[in-house]
Parts: sequence; structure tokens; C-alpha cells
Amino acid sequence: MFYGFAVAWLVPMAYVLILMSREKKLRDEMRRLKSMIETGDRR
Amino acid sequence: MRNNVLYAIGGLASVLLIWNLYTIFIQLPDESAQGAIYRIIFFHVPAAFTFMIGAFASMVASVLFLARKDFRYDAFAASVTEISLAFGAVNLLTGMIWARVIWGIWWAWDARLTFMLISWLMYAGYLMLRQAIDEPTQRARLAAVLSILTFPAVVITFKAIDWWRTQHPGPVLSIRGAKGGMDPAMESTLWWNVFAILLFAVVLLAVRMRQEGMRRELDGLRREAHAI
Repeated sequence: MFYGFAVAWLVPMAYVLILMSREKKLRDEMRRLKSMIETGDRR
Repeated sequence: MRNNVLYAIGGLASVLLIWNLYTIFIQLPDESAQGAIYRIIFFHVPAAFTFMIGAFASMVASVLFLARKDFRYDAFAASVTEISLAFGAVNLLTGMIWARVIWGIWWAWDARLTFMLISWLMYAGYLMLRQAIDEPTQRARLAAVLSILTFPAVVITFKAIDWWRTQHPGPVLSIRGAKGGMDPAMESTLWWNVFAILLFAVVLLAVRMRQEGMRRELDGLRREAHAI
């Protein structure tokens, strides 16, 4: 039973971690592109 | 405002899950035939419901995308399919652990289990297809077609225990007309857990949808960056 409940919690938690890391990557990429565009505009 | 609603739903889901865990482990007795292991059903069945409701929502959003060509439906279908797949994995894995204890085997190729696995693999294929196609319109159109074509496998999975004699137990829930199924106290706890897990899935869906919005914004920024 322990393994059953471990799976029931670990899979959604692993998915939440994937979502969080994906969001961080998207935010970093957005920040990088915005600063690149701002620098390009100033030139 | 939107974040506050999400926090409220997430908080409610957490409180319900904690309360349900207390009921499942402390208040409810062991089942007479299966002992303690029957408690897996309180996560196995809600995960299946979440998977099937998500599959239905994905199919509806895919039909709407093909009809209206609105990319918000495509984003919704992609998000809800990904979340359904996670809960489908919970359903399959908890079922396998229960089967190992009760049947003595991890897996049986009966209609219910086989169609569930086929549905899960097809939705995994849906996500792989989306990764493989760069052009957004073509990606959305093909993914929508695949989602619509996959949904009948989910319906067959749902009805398999009515249509065929399966190794998988027959219907035990009163809404499926089961006679002599679950004890009412156990069944009400199960429905509360279905509700809690659906709320949790709604929060995940909102986060995943926000990421789809960020991706669209990123595509625009990349085009702008290339133009400079």
C-alpha cells in the first residue's frame, strides 16, 4: 500500500516540479529576449 | 484577482486532500476481502476520472479549434492533455501495484487495462507530435485530429467493464448501477477525493495555460529579435 500511495503523490509532484522548471526557463528566455530587443532598439 | 482565485482553489483542494487522507487512513476500516490495500482505490479512481474528463475536454477543445481556428482552444487542448496524461500515469501505476498484491501479477491484457494503456500511449503520442512540428497551424490541426481520434479509446476504456468480462473488477460505484458495490461511507469519501483531485487539476491547468500564453509571447519576441 505504501508504494501505491507513494506513486499517487510522487507522479503529480514530479509534474508540478516539471511545470515550475519550465516556467522558470520561459521567464528567463523572455527576460533575455526583452533585454536583447531593448539593447537593439537603443542602437 | 485571477491569482487569488487560483490560490483559493489550491487551498481548498489541499484542505480537502488532508481531510480525505485522515478519513481514508484513520476513520475508514479495512475492507473485508482485500484488507488495507483497497485504499488505493481512493486515488486510482479519481485519477481515472481526471484522465477521462481531461480527455473529453481535450476532444471538445480540438473540435472547437478545427471549427473556429482559434489558437486558445489549441492551447487549452495541449494543456489539458498533458495534465490528463500525468493522472493517467497515476491510474495505471496504482492499478498495477494493487494488481500485484491482489492478483499476484503486475498486468493482465484484459480489455479495460489494454484500452487504458492504448489511450495513454496515444495521448503521449499527441504530445510528441506537438514537439515534432514547428509550424503552429499545422501542429494545432494535426494534434486536434489526433485528440479527436483518440477519444473513442477512452470511451471504450470506460465501458470495457460493462461490455466484456474482464480481469479488472466490474462497476462498484452506485452511479454506474452497481448493486452490492462500495459501502456508502467509502463511496462518499471516494467522491470527495474525486472533487479534491479535480480542483488540484484545475490549478495545474491554469498554470499550464499561462505557460502557453508565455510561449506565444516568446514567439512574438523571437520574431522581433530576429528583425533587429
